[in-house]
This record gives sequence, structure tokens and C-alpha cells, in this order.
Amino acid sequence: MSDLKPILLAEDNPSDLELTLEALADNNLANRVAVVRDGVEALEYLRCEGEFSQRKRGNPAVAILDIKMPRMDGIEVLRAIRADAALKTIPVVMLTSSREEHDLIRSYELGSNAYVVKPVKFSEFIDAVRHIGVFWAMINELPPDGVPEHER
Amino acid sequence: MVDEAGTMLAELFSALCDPWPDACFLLTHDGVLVEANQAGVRMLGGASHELPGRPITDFVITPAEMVLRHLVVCSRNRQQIPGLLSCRGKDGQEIKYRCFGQRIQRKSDAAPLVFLRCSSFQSAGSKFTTLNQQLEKQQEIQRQLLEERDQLQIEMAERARAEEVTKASHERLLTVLNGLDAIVYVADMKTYELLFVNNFVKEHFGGAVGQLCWKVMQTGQEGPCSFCSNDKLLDGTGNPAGIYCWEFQNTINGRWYDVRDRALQWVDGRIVRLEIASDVTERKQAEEEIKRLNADLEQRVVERTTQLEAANQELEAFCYSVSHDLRAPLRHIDGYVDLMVSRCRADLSEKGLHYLDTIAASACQMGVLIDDLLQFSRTGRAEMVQKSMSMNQALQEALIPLKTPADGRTIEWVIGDLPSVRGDYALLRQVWVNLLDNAVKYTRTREVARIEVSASEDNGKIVFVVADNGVGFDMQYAGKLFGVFQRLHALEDFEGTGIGLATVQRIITRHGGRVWAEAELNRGARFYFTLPK
Repeated sequence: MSDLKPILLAEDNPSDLELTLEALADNNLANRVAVVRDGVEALEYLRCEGEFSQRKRGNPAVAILDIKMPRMDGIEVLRAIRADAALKTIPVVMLTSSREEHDLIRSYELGSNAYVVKPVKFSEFIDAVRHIGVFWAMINELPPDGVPEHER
Repeated sequence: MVDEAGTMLAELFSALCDPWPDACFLLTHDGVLVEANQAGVRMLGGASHELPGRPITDFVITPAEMVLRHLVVCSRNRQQIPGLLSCRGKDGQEIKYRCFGQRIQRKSDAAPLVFLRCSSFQSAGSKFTTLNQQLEKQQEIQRQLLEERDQLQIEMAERARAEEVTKASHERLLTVLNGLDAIVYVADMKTYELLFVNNFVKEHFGGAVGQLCWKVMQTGQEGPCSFCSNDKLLDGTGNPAGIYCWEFQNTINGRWYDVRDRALQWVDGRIVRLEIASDVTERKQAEEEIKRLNADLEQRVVERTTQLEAANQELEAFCYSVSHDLRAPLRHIDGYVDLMVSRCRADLSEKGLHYLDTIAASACQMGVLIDDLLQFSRTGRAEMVQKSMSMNQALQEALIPLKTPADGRTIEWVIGDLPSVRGDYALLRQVWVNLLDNAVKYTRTREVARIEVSASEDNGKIVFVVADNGVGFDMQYAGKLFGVFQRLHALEDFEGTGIGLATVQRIITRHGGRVWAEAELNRGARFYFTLPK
């Protein structure tokens, strides 16, 4: 099980982060969850830069991105992932509070794999997170890791 | 008798009387010849030198006493006295003469002389005949001339009358043309020479026939106007093509003219240009003013629109924040309450559990409120796509979730046929959703709920009605029905946020319609809305 790919979770709000982690833990997912607190960190993680330069190479099973984050928002991260030959095959799920149509449309236009609005009711939230985790980390088959890092 | 005075008299007589065709004699009262002119010598048939001193009676065949008596009478009277004389001609024939004698008094003491002038009767007679013939001819000519003159006079009178008529009509036309408060001129289309100008052209431009139109009407030009309409007045075959209308600003006085040009055939056959141009400066100025005001208005609209767009953007940003940031804490409240209930249940009393339930319910209610408010806001901002659409279909779609109520209630639906309308499908479907939701909600207490939907036409509008047999409401609060967050029932009785009807009103108003309701407490409600046909 050690070769299970991690789940990347980008979430700036500590409460949301805690509740999301609770929800993921509740579902007994074996995958490790890598947490970053904004878009810049997310890209650093993906590109193994900065504080993530020593991390084990390889793309995550899925990147779960909040939209509204400091420095760089989720949609910008999505755009950067899709524009990067080494990252563009990573499944991306937008997990957000925004029901705004234009966020939804832009996300899909930029190549998001899913768009999930965080339900206010916690039981529903746990359900949603479980579905995301189970589907993307366990059911979904991934392509072999993209182009080696020197092409970045 | 032959003295110096006699010689002088002879010379004088000869000089005076020789040129005459009549025979002239100067003689004494007793018939002695003193002088005779050349015609007289010929009459008497003698030689000039042998006549003086001899009695005239020697040469005439008229009896002497008659001749002498005539001479005596002549010598005694002042007037000319006529008489007769006869002579033998060369062929021996008698020639008669008519003669006039006149006394000549030389000196008071001397005996008077008689001057006798004779003209041949015969020659006078033939002359007379000739003259008579000539006279008759001339009379005939004169008669003809008179006739012709009469005829001419008649013709002249007629012509004069005709001319008078022509002149009068010409003057009338000129009066009209000169009275016109407009430029009227005719110009040669090749040479630009003015062939007619009315007073307006004379007074305002100093124009006159013979000048060039572009020199008279314009200034600062070396040649014909670049905007000359001549080429627009003729068709492909060079014939008049009808009236061409245009407007231009005169370069001399800066005034605007409404111009009507046309080509027409001039009196001499050539094709000329007729222009009638009326001054429309005031109208033009008014138009300019309107344009300026419109531009101003447009500018203000643009400014206002920009302000509104900015306000809208702010509102959108606000809504985005509400959607995202306001919901997050609610989720946290619910999340932690849930975690507390599931993980720390053993530490909680019944009361504590009840409090936590209430906190979770409140958080949920607030989540619904936020969602409704966002939807209300979006119905106001969303771009409307108006097209012809089926109201039946929109209604049926709205009915789907209501047809099978979760709580097993009995609802009698009476759905009439609805006409098609022009509108935004998604928004109008939302109207049906909200109205039918309400109808279902407020009939909850009825054993058999009855909900009717129908449509009718009124004054070119379509009126839709949703009627139910529910709890209704007190009409004195009808004004509050469509306000945001306005509710007429207790939350414990009927859940809701008070935004549904406000949304309905906003959508219908945006479609140019109207919403109202009629009800009686506990006797059902009727909700009406109109849409333009």
C-alpha cells in the first residue's frame, strides 16, 4: 500500500481543513493527504519546489482545490496544472463554497474533472468528501506519471 | 418801248416764264403784245422777234372783239379772269386754250398791262383723262389698302388682346415666383448661365440673368460647385430623371437650404436645371439642438450606465462574498455540532443535545436563506434571453417535483391550457416553481388540496392565475406579500424565507408584466400575473 499516491488538499480555512480531514479520515482512506494552504504552495508541492523540494517525487492521485485562497486561487492553480506538461494529467476536483455559475463554467473550461459545492450540512459534506476520496483515490485509474521533471 | 427798262423787263420775263410749259404773254389792254415766253411763241406760231408790238389778234382765230373785251375786263380787275383763245396748229387744226388774265399795274399814271397765261385745252383734256385713270387706279389701291388696313387693325386688336392675356398670366406667374420665400432659378446645365432668377435670388444674392449660378450663389470657388447636382438630374439617356432633393449650407450666408432640383426643357429646347431652395436654417438649428441634447443625454446615460455597472459589479462581488464567506462559518457550525454530537455524545445531557439540534437547525435555515437570497439577486442580474416559449412546458417542468408530495397528501390539480409567450424560459419556469410551491405549502392543512392554473386575455395582455383552497391571508397585508423577507405566517406553521414571491415579482416586472394577489383568510388565495401578448 506504500505506493498509494497521496491526495493533495489545498484549503486555507483551518475549520474547513479540519472538517475535510475529519471527513476523509471518517472514510478510512489509506492514501496520505498532503495539505497546502494556498495556490502558491499547491504548485510548489506539485513541482517539488521550496519546502517540498525533498518530497518523494510523483503526482498525487487527485488535487482537491478550494477556489478562494490567498496569493493564488484554485482556478489559477488549475490553469497552471493544465498548462504544465508534467502536471496536466492530474485529476483536479474543485471543492468550494461558491455556487457562482461563472466559477463553475471557468473551472470546466480550464479542464476541471469535477466541481463540488461544499454542503452546509455536515452529514452531506462527509458524504461528498467520501465520494471524492473513494472515486478519485481508489476507483479511478491514472495514466503513468507525466513527463519527467526536467522538462519543466 | 425799246428802252433800258424794256430790256430789263424782257430779260426778267424770259427768265421767269420760259421754263413754264404754259404759254405766257404780257400785253396791253388793247391787245398789243409786249412779251411772250417760249411756249407763247410756239402757241402763236411766229418768231420771237416779230411778236412784240403786234396785236395778239393777228395770230389767233378767236374773234378780235372777244379777245379785246377779255383783256379790258382783265385790266380792270384785281382777280385772275378766265377766258378762251383758239389758234391754228401746224396741221391747220384749231387748238383751244383756256387762259387766265391778270392786271399788272406798273405806274399809277400808266395804262395797266395784262399778264395772260394759256394752257391747251386738248392737252389738259388728255392729261385729265390720264389723271382720271390714275386716280381710279389709286382709288382702287386705296380701297384695297383700306380693306387691308381694317383687316390689320382687327388682327392687331386681337393680337393686343392676346398679348394682354399672355402678359397678365406672365405677370401673375412672376408675382408668384417673386413672392416665394425661396430661391428659384433656372440655369444652363453646361455653361451654368442663369436663365431665370426670382426676386429672392436678386435680393439675397444679387443674382441676375446672364451670370453664372455658382458665382452668384457661392463664394470662394474657382469653378462650379463640387457638390453640383447636375449629374443626378439626368438618367442614363440624358433625359430628365425627376426631382432630386438634398440639403446644403450656403457658403455666402451660412444658412441651410432644403433644395429640390430637376432638369426640364427650356423654352428654346435645351435641357436646363431648375432649382427651388427654401431656407430651413431654423429647422436645422432645432435638429442640431436635438442632436446636441441627444448626445448630452447619451453621454449622461453612458456615465450613469458606467456607474450602474460599477455598482452592479460591487453587488456581484458582494454576492460572491456572501455565497462563499457567509456559508463557510455555517458549515463549520454544523460540522462541529455534528462532530460534538457524534464524538462527545456521552458527555452531553438531553438539554445539551436539544441546544445543539437548535444550533444545527438555525445554521441550516440560514444556509437556505443565503441560497434564496442569492437566487433572488441572480434573477435581477441574470441576462434575459427572450424568445417565444411554451408556458405549458414550463409549468409541467415546475410540477415534476410537486406531483408526488413526500407526505402522501392528496392534491387535485386543475391545469388549463396556457398560451405561448415571449420570455426567458428559465426565469418563467422559476415563477411557476415559486407560485406552485406556495400553493402546495399553504394548502397543507386541507384534507384535499385543490390547485388551479389557468390563463385568459385582458386588454392585449395575458393574465395567468394560480388559485388554491389553502389558508389564504388577510388582504390588509397584501402589500407586504411581494417584499423581500416579508412573511405573513409563523415560521412554525409554514417554513420559508420570504423571498419566493419577491423573486416572482422581480421576474414578472422584468418581463413587463404585473403581479398581484387576492385572498381571504382561510378561504384560499389567487395569485395573478400578466405578460405582454
